[in-house]
Amino acid sequence: MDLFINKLYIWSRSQKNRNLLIQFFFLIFISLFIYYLFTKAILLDMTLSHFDSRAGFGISHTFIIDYTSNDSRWVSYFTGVINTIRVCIVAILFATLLGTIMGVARLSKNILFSTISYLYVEILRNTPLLIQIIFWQIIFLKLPRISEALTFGNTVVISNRGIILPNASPSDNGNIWITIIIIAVILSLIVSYIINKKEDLDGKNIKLFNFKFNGNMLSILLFFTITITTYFILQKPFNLDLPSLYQNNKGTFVQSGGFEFTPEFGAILFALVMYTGTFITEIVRGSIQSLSKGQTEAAQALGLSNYQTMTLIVLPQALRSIIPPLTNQYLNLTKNSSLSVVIAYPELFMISRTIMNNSGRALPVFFLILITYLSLSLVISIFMNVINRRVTKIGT
Amino acid sequence: MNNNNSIKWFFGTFFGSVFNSIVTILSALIFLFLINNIIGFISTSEWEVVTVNRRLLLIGRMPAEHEWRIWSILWITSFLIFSSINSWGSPSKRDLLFISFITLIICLIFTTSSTILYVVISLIICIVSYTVSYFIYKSSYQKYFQNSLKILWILLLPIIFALLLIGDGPSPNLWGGFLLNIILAFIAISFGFPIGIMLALGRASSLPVIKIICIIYIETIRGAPLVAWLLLAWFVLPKFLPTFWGLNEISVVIRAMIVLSAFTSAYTAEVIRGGLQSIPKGQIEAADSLNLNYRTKISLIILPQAIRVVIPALISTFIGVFKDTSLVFILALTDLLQVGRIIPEQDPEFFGKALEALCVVAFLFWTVSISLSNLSKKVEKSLGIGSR
Amino acid sequence: MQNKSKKQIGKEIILTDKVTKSFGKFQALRGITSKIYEKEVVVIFGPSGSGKSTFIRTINRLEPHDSGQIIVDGIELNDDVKNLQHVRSNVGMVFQQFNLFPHLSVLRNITIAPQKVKGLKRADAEEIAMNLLQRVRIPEQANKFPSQLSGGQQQRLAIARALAMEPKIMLFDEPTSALDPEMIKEVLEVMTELAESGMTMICVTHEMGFAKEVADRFLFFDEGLIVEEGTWDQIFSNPKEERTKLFLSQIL
Repeated sequence: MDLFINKLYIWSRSQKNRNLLIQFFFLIFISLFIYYLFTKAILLDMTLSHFDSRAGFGISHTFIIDYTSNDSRWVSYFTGVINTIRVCIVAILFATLLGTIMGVARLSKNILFSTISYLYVEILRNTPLLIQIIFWQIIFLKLPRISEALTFGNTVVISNRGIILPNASPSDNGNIWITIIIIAVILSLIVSYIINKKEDLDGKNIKLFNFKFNGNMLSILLFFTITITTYFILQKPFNLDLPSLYQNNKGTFVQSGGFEFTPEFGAILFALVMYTGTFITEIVRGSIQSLSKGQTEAAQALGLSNYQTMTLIVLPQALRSIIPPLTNQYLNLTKNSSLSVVIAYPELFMISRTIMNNSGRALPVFFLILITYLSLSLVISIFMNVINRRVTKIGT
Repeated sequence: MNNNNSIKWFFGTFFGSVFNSIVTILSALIFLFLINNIIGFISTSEWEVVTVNRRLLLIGRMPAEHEWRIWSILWITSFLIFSSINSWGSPSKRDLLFISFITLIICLIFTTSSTILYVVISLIICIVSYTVSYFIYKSSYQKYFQNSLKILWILLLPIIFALLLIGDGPSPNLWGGFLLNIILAFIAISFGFPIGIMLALGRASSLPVIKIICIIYIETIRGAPLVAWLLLAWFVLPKFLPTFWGLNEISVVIRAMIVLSAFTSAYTAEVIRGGLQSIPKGQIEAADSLNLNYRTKISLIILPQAIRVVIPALISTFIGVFKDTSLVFILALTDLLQVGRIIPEQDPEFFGKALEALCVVAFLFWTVSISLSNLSKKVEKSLGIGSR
Repeated sequence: MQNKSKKQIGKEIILTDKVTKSFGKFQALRGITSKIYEKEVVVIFGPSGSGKSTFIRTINRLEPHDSGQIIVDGIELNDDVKNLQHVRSNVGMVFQQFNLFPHLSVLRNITIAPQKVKGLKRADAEEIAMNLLQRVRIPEQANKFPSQLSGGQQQRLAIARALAMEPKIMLFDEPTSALDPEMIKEVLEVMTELAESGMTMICVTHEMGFAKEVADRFLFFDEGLIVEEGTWDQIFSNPKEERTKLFLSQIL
């Protein structure tokens, strides 16, 4: 017996064994907890079988999928996912653009410009996103009523039912033009690459009419020349689909045609862009500021111009510290899109809630939501990781 | 000579180059547009929707006989805030201006004919505690006072709860308005912060079981939006709570508090994890070589340094939590934002006044957030951390 | 002791006349008047805060001066951008914190300015770069990155980078103050060789041993003014001013 206690004592003095003991107890605790949850969960119906049945509710925004209330709940859910992706991609693009401009503005010597940026960040960052969404919704609803809609001579229809912009659907010639645009983009990218490489090897001596040209400028010029001249050569490449407004025989206003931009979509888009933009502004500003002043000084002492200092020295280094927190903001934006439930823009969260209310089986639907958001976050993270690796690949 | 310089400076800054000039013109246009609209709005708007519904906005549907609780809470909190302002260094003139401005506006919001007495008492408390703490700061009792204030701040939450609940206080379901937002934020931070610390330590631990559990917890909570978790609390949480003690029938407010605390703990854990990572390995090695045990090592060496480094990010997270308390609308709780939305929709007297109500609601949220944000900047400066 | 009389000091190349500079309420320079000649090596020393760094940074206008005149190689330094470009291409600077570009390779750090500012071909720029790397004795590091080099190697790279633009004047702002002692020697050797090759140099430094060997003239700065100037013998054996005596007693 004594031997046994002795052996136990020696065994317990090893740190490794103590660690094992602690983990063992944790495992037991967690297992009991999970068992408890399990017993409760058994009582619930944990399948998503109810997703196969008829949805029974309408969705106001459908994109790609032609949804009717007779479709299954799976279809309604996917419509919601598409709406989420739609709003998120557009919002991410514009928020990044706005944030970058405002971030640079904050550091500008133009006092007017930097004050706008300062006020923008301080006011919109400290106001809850929910309030901003509702604000934009109210603004959109304050647009004139449909009977007094602004039409600007039949080109657009602006009312509290949304904004309808002219839609352009390409005719046969138009399809050719679009192909030409794509070719022009590729061509100018290639030209830009070649010219830059040549400059690198042979020094700067590309002269056109005695004016030293930059490789990038040349390619942009090329792009515009090609696209504009071919537009005029081809006749009528686009059929303009103008929005029209008329009263049908019951006296109600009907709008048709064009490309519709509803108040709900507008509200959630504007709010997400403005709100996330403030955080991106601070990220961009902090990143550029944290760059040691010595870098710009060294570049200027060598004679590099302001433009060259920015593009060759400052931005490549700043980008490195921008991308991880930027990714974080994109993930936040994606999750914040769920707030559109408050203004009835049918993205995936709102539709899930409707399904939960209709069918009452919340837990499995919730797992579905969790998995969906995790997948969206994963996609964004992987995409940004690729960009991150390209940016941190040192070189110019 | 000076005049020439200023004119040269003006044109140089604003119209130095073509690009610069375009920017100046655009900015000026934006400014004018915004100011025009804002002034137009303020001059033509009617603020009855706010003044009449003051009570609803601030404390929800709490019955009138319990109002004394709210006033006592307000007085204790004002005392604490105004004493604390002066006990850790004097505020700058700019800060003083800001504080006075905010206090003035809040007094305006609170004052009606029936409450004027209470508001005056509050103002007196503010001024008295400010001046008294100023003198104590200069005297030799500074340390004692600071310590007692610290203890009071820690006890504030239980005090508030006691004041709200003793003597058959109103059930939590009746808590609403701005009060609800503040209480929810307070609870979420008070519980979320310590739990977050433990999670961060667990995640940094070398024991795989603990590490994995913490990672799963943190990543799961951060994977879904807060509204989804709140909805889960509504639908699912009751089913998972034990049936004894009537626990599975706890009120919605308590459920919201649980979810918010869990949510805060996950985000706090991530922030503190960043702080833990930034501690030089030499610190841990020094602590080990001094033979400090785990508890001492963590609480006296590692954690203070880790938290100090990430205070700005922490306060930013807390501000986020406060803003997120507006999301409890999904549980049909009437917080400040919900009240501000519902009144113009349901009360025929105030149709179409949605924007006015929203502005006041936004202002109240903004005030708290920006005060915390300024506090964070001051702390950064005094601790010498953060960006230049 | 090097035979300095062999060196031919050329014509005046930098003129500063009553230059002042303030940072807010603090006056860093209170009226500096000095002339620097071609091929001259000038060492500036003095207590911290005396304006030494500020002074040499006004010469390539990293700090614009408030009043007075600065003429570098016949060009006056003012707000004119074209003049500034001209001056900066003739003046090279080496910083205390090296300020190398971490995202570019060692070779690219050197070739970037000649290629982008002077428009040189890549082959030519790289040839110049390799010659310079040879001269500062780190040719084998060409394809590494600055973070992979030791402190002494980094500063030598910084010197090579500045020399790539073929400047007429080299400014050194406490180049060895951030280095470990065993690396100071290698940097000073490069600077000595540079001085012997006839480069006009202005150095702010505390390395008096190096200065004694190499400097033609010393400027003692205190509180924004040149208190005393002269050769080694003039200043160090026979300081005229009280302040000079005090400072020398502290450092020697």
